[in-house]
Amino acid sequence: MADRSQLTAGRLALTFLGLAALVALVWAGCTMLGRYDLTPQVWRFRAVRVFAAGLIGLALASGGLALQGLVRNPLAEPYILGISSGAGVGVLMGRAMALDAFFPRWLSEPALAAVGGLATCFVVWGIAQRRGRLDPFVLLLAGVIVNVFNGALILVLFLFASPDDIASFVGWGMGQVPDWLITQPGLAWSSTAIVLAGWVFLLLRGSAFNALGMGDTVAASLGVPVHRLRIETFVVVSLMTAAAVAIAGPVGFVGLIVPHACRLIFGPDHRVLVVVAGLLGAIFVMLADTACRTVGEWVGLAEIPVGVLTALAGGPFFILLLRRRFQGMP
Amino acid sequence: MSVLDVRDLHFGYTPGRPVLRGVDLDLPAGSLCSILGPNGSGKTTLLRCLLGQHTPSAGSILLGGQPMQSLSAKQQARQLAYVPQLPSSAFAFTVRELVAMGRYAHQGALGLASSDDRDRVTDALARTGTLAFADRTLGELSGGEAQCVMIARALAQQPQVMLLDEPTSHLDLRNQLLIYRLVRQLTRERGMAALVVGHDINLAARHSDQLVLFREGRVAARGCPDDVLKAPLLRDTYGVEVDLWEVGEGPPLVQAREPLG
Amino acid sequence: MRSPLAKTLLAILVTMLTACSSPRVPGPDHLAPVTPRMASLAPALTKMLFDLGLGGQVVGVSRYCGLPEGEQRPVLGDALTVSTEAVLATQPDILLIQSDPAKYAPLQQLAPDLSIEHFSIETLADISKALRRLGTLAGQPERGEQHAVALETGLDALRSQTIGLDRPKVLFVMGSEKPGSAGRGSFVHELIELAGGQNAAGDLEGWPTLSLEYVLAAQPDVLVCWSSPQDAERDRQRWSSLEDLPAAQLGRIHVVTEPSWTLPTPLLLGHAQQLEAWFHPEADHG
Repeated sequence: MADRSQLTAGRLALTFLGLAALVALVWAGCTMLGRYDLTPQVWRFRAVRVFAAGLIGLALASGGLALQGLVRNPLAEPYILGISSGAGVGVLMGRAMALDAFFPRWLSEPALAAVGGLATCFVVWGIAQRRGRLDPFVLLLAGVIVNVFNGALILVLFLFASPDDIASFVGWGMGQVPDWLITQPGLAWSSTAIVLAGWVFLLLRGSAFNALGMGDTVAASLGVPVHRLRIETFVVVSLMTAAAVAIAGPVGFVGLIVPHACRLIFGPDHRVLVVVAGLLGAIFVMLADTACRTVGEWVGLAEIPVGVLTALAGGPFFILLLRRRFQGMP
Repeated sequence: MSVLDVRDLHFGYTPGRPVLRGVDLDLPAGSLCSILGPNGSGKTTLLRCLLGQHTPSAGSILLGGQPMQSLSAKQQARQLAYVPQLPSSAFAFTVRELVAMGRYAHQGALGLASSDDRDRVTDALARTGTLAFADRTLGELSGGEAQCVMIARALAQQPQVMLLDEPTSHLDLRNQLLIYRLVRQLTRERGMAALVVGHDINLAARHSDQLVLFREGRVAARGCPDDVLKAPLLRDTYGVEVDLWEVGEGPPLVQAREPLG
Repeated sequence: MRSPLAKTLLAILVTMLTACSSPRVPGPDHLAPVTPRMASLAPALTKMLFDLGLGGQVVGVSRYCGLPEGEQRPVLGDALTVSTEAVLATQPDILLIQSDPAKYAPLQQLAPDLSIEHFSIETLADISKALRRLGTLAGQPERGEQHAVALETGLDALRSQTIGLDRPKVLFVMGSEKPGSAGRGSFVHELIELAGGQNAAGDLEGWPTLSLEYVLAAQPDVLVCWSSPQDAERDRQRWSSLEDLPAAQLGRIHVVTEPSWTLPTPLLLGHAQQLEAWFHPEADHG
């Protein structure tokens, strides 16, 4: 086995640049793919859409990785925090109770998604924390429970919503990369800024996540500010995920599949993984969304929502994970 | 001069129920001190306070002459290293990578290793006899080997004080001896102080410069093994009658007398 | 752990549940003594009944049935559930439905005398049939006939009006986010064709969802977008921003918000006439 501890700044930079180049290549390639003729206008729409897909992949994959390190659990994923279901509650509540009148129209659905998602995060944190400290196991459990509760809330809200609202909400809930982000520069820029800033934050904490693997006490004794790290990471990942959900609704399993695949190939070092998982996550969702955009037409549908594809891939992957002794997790 | 100085330490998890009731400890450089005492006497709590996990309600802890609260986490880590009871790693890092994490407190934001870091890691591996399996994962090692890896990691921190939490409870006879001897040698060679919380009285007595008997959140007795291993002291601490057997040069062998009183 | 936060959430949930509108049990004043009492769970059928002047016989509606100004009727259910109690309390003779009749088998068992009439209205011809059938069921067949004939005449007139005119490519979309459209076999498709247009989504069946690229490739000359009132302005801006579309270039993007555009009722005639005016602005509409 290669001596992995020889991670130098040079090698990290090289990995980053290589993968970033790959991301750019995939982005360009995806904009060329599609059933219809490539006019400049079509290209512009595709360019923004594929970029959005990449951004979502980056946010969810690196967020999922960070959470898995944080709670030392391979099943951790942004959605255990309840962000997607909370976002759903926010969006649906807004429509059913016309709360979206309080926001300017271009902002309302993303804002409601973000507010709902973050509010749920705080609830989960409130349940899981004790004396300001987060216990990993309780955090997972709290997330699962809050998700179930949100699901119930959504059902209640269905009673107040019109059939059109329900239908459009169910569509949103499948998770799809939007066509019209190009007309929402405010949302696009702010989401990009949040996701990139969050990613840099996680990158700088790579070695701390590594140390966490030896247990809280050992990590703390090494100088890692364990409790502060947990809370900060929790908040940052929440924001990154909320940004992704604000754009595309809840896209599941990216935060589960991509980090694990990356660990298999690149090993457990989080300093490398944050870069790798982020960029490969971007590629994954870009490819998935392009497949959804093109293949759908051949099976008689306009498009398949990308969340459906990731869920179909994610389900079996999840089972595979449970069944085999995952390498790296005793 | 003492590298670790604990004065009149008080702490309780809930108010009104103190666990530590005025602990005084003094750890000189280059010495090995063992803390012995019955379960529930507060040894683990003391350890946690020394690691900064709990804030004492009264008293002070001085690390290298400075109050511990005035030190940042990284500054503390450069002085104090911790070896857990059971070595574990949630991720499949190699031994070398785990030991390299000991350099965390000496590194910058990205945590990239300098050549100095790498040298210290290799040194720590060599000194603890773990260089041979530097590229294996923790799961592939025996208990004793894994514990040595943890000590190597702590060593890589270049600490003034090493805290060991029952490091041999789960090890066989040979490995128990191995670990104690290793720690003892490290204190001699590097001027490092070691504080070992343990259960095995005899093992501790044979290798420690200082023994501390802990009872009900207080130091019941403190001194060199010969002074501390006295039947009345041990009886008061453990609530058991003991027999002391002289064996050669070292401190006496302690054995609980049956039937229990 | 019973954090104050969890308690608050629970309180909100309970409040919302108790505030759910429960169907009101009607008093005897709504009732016409002789003619059949009709309960309608389909918005299209409710509308038709009132347009036929048969509102007095309507004793119960669904939550989504629009009622004329000033009218009120007991609510018997919503999109997901129908309250059996509420239905029975209004003592209808006939229950009008558009959804799957199998759902109502239990209700039929409880009320064997209740006549459950299922309507399937997909095409414009179905609307005339429905009008006649409603008239007959209500005991006023001549009214049904009258309205059906009026509708058919209007549609025929429109058809002949547009023979020989140029047929612009038309796309009808619902919203802008993964928009639904109207394909072959839907009444909106018929409206478009009737009004002298050519449905660009005519190669698809039913109510398909369109991708944005499909719209761009279809290059419609006229785009009609049906939006909810809150989204109307946003949708207009979005569609107008597509410079590649002939419809956008020529400013022939029309946004409509009335629910009747997607309900199969005689009101569609008025909408068809509106479409015709949009498709052929140059024709003389004296």
